[in-house]
Amino acid sequence: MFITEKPIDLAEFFSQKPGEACGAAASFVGMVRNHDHGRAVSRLYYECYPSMAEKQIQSIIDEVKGRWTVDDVRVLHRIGWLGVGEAAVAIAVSSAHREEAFAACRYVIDEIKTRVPIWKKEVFEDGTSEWVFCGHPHEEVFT
Amino acid sequence: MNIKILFFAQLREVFGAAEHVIDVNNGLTAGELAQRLLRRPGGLLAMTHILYAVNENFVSPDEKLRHGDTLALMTPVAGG
Repeated sequence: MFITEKPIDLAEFFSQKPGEACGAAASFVGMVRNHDHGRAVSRLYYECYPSMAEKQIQSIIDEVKGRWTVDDVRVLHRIGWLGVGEAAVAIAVSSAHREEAFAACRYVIDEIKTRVPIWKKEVFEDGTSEWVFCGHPHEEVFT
Repeated sequence: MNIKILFFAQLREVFGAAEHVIDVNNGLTAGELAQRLLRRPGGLLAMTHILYAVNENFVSPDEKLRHGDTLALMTPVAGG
């Protein structure tokens, strides 16, 4: 399972030691920041299409393993209400060499943002809220 | 044919439901069904960049629907 409603325990997530053939472990943590486009953000709400999101993340991991020589690829994405500073996604990739580990880790987060059915709503300090459309101005998606 | 439609995020809020079952004519495409559901009289809702998934796989709006399909209508994703 790659999707969780529980807070991500980063210490636990990164406690798994890479295999002895691995010389590199790359990781990425996506966190809730307190601002977006100049506006103060107080919290985020993540919603997903659970069954499809699980399949999409598995397919990204399968692609990564076909493309780079990596040992282990792990992903955990949280949904529901998250406060500023909380981890929304954690990724860990281990490999013999750092180039593969960095490239694969970068690919996983980039692909999650492109094709895993997860959405987030920003709640601003002034009490208003807005769904986020990565890469698209709001008025372009809904007019 | 019966099609189950899933709405998420802003589309769920706009439509007012997370899912909806509809009986439509054979041969209808994902894009045509989306237009029918979301363009209301008065035409407030114009959509671009909508993503379509049939039975949990992304498809183009030209995908022909089949009886029993589940069509998910999605705004651009924003995970991470």
